[in-house]
Amino acid sequence: MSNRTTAVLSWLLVTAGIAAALKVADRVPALVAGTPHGARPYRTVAEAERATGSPLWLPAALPPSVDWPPFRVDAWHGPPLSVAVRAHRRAEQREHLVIVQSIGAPAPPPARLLESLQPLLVSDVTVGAHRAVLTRGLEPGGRLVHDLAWDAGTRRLTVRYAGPVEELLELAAAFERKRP
Amino acid sequence: MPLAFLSQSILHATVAAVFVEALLRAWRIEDGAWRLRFSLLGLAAPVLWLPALWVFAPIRRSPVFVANWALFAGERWNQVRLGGSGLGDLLLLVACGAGSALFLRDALPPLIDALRGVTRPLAPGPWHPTTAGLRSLVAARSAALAIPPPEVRLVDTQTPVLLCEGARNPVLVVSQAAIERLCPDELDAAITHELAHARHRDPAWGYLLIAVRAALFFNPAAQWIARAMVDDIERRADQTAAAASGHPEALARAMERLFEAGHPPPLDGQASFERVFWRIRQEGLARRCARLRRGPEAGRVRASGALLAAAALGIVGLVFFVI
Repeated sequence: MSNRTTAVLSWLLVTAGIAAALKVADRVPALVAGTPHGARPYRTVAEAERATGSPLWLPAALPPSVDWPPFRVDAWHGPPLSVAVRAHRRAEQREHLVIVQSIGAPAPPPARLLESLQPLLVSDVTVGAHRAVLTRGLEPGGRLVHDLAWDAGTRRLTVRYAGPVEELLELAAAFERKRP
Repeated sequence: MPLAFLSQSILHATVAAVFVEALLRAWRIEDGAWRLRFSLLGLAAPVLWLPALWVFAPIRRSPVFVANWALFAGERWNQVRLGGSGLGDLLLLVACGAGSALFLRDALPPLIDALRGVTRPLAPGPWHPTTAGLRSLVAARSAALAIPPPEVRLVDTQTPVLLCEGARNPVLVVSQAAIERLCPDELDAAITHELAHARHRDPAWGYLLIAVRAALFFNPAAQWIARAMVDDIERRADQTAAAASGHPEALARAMERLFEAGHPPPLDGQASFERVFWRIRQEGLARRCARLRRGPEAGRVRASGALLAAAALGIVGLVFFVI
C-alpha cells in the first residue's frame, strides 16, 4: 500500500471512529433518562412554554382516568417545532395520553416524539369545525390505542389515547371549546 | 452562555487531543518537530477555532442545529439528574477542577521557587575554571548547530541544574553539581541538548505554553495537550542533539544521571500522589531514553504539510458538530 493510500485510509478511519464514538456517547443521556433522543424534556407545561416561546394548546377538560398535570413535556425543534405533552393513567406509571402539536406549520408528529402505529382501522371524523382522522392501531409494544389528528390554523394536533374512543372524541372537542 | 463556552472549550480540546494522538499513532510520526506542529493544531481547537465558531457560526447554538445536526451536545447530559443537578453541569464542574489541579501542579512549584529565590547565580568571571571549560565546549557545539554561543551562567546549588532559559537571548544555566556528575561525553551530549533548545527558541515556546495554560486553566484536555507539547519539544531537542553530537547513548545516560540526582524517589511517608507523579516522570524519562537508544525510526507515512492540513480539516470538521 502506498504512503498516500495509508495516510488517507488512516485519516478516514480515525475521523469516522471519533465521529461514531461521539454519536454513541450523545445517545447515552436519552437512554439513561428514558427520553427521546434529540428532544428537550421539560418538567411542566409552563417551563416548556417559556423555553419555546409558544403557548401550548390543551383541552379544557380531561377524562377522569388521566393523571394531570403531565409527567413530562418533550420539545423537538424540527423544523417545525413540535411539542409532546405526556400524561400517565391515574394511579399507574403507564403513558396513557400524549398530545403532540406542531407549531408554526401543520406537520405529522416526529417519530422521536410519537412512535408510529400499526393501523388497524382509519376513519374520518369531525372535531369542532375541523375534519380529523381517527386511527385505531397497535403500538410497537402491541398495546391498542387510538390516534386522532387534525389541522387547526398553523398547527397540527395529534392525540394518542389508550382509553375508550368516546373519551378521546370528547377530549378533542374540549380542545375546541377552550379556544375562541 | 459562559457555561456553554466552558463546556465546548473542554469538549473541543478533548476531541482535538484524541484526534491528533490517534493520527500520530496511526501515521507513526516520530519526528519531534512535526509532532509539535500536530499538537499545536490540537491546542488551536479551544484557543482559535472555538472563539471563531462562536462568533462566525452562531447557527451551531440554535435548537434546530442541536436537535438535528450535532454529533454530540453537552447540554443533553443535563437530562440525567443527580441530586437535583444535571449530570452535564456536574461533569463540567469535575473537569474544571481537574484542569485547575493539573495547571496548579505544574505552575505552583516554579512560582514558589522563584518567590523563595532557591537558586543564586554565582556570576563567575571569565577566569573561573568551570566557566572557561564550559565556554569552549558551548562554543564548539554552538558552531555545530549554527547558532551564536549563548551566555553561560553558573548557579550555586547542590541540585544538578542544566537548562536553557531566556525567550529573547538564550542563557545556559548550569550548576557545579551537574558538571560533577557527568562524564565528558555525557556533559557534551547534555550541553548539545540544551543548545538545541536555544536553536529552536524553546524557552519562548515554554512561555507561550504557560500563558495558554493559564488562560485555559479550567480545561484538562488543553492542559494535557500542552504537556504533550512539552514532551514533543524535548523529543525535538533530543533528536537534534543526537544528530549533532552523534552520541545518543551518552545523552540518555546523562538524562538518567541528572534525573536520579534531581528527583529522588518519594519516601514512604510522602503523599501517594507525589509517588504517582514521580512514577509518571520516571516512565516518561525511560521512554525518552529508550527512543534515543533505539535510534531514528521511519514513520509509517512521511510527515508533510498536506497531512497537517488534513489533520486541521478533520479537527475543524469534527468540532463544528460538537456543541
